[in-house]
Amino acid sequence: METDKNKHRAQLIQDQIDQYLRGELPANQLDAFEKRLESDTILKAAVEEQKAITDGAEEYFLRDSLDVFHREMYTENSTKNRSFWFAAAAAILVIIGVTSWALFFQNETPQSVFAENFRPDPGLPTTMGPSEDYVFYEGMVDYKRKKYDEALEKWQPLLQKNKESDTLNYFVGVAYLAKGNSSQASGFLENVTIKKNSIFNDDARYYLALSKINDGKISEAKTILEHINTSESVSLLQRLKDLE
Amino acid sequence: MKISRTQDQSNQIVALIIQNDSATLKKVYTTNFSKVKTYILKNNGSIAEAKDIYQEAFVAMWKNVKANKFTAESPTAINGYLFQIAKNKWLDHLRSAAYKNKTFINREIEFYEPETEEIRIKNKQIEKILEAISHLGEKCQLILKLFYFEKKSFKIIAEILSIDEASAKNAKYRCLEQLRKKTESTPNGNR
Repeated sequence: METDKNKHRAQLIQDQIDQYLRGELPANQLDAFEKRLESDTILKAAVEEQKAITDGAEEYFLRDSLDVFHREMYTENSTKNRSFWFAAAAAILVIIGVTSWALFFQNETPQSVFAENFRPDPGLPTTMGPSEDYVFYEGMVDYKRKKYDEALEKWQPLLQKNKESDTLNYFVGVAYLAKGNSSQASGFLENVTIKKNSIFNDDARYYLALSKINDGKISEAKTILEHINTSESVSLLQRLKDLE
Repeated sequence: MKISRTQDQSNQIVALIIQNDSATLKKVYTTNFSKVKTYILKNNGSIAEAKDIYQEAFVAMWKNVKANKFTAESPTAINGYLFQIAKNKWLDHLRSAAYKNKTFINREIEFYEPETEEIRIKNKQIEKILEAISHLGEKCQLILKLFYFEKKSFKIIAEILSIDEASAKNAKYRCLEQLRKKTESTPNGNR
């Protein structure tokens, strides 16, 4: 069992090593720390161990983010495969002269296409100015935990103050969409789609198309998708064509 | 390719990658995947292999950027660099699997060191750390992510989690200790 005193000491050392590795050790401590490192092999080993572990942690969370980016970007090649089988099956149906393929697609509705293709944006660490940074971030933590109502509660007042913010419009829009409130989502997403230079522009248009689909406005969705050049939009457009 | 951009913009991308800026990482990731995928599919690979190789290449790129092994000459240089690493990794994969002892592929640039015993042990250790983190509780993962990946200060972490700063520091200490204990039983990664 650690005594309180030892624990306290261990915590101080861990914090100091963190500061050292982050380059945040105050100048007046840095010299002394580096001198101690030269002679104190136990400290040196502790620094190396902590560096290995925290580098590993960083890598773990990076890999985690990559998976999220990937899911988002390339929603499933399985959708493509499925489109292929739909196409193949449809061709056979035509060949053998079945009167209506409506039968075949009877379970396919705009809403099911929406549900199958909608994945909420994984979210950001932070991109806004420092003063409101943490309120935005708090909302982002809620958002990432799928607590969309709480996220919206925090973001709406910010959006009132920054009506032009593409980041806020985008995430508020996606949060509404995640709640299934597509008509409300559209308004916010449209605020982003008109900003051609926004890094969220393509994503906003994709989500806007999805919200149109959920509203049953298929031809509007198609027009939007035809102007996005990503693999997910192409595969979604294909699904809409199958739907007809 | 645009060539007339300033060095400033190039350095900024490098700085944003080092900070793990999510929007930048995502942008780099999504910009380059389809090119790598096309290359790997054309060279006997599958989509799943393309994803794996691409993610390994991305992590290697990120490590090199952090270790100052990459100098950006233009804002888009990172894209070519990432593609080159992915290509080399795929060629290595082909060489080690199907083409072993048959083909010798001469690489122009050596992006990562050959696997020495030391590196093998280090990689094993990293794997072990990655495995250990996945077994930590959700709260510990969140705190370690905020502090070590997103580089947030304790002040911000405290605000995000609605706790005071001292509790945030304590939690970070406990979580890192937990992780350290999970990884220390076999110090060199050997049995």
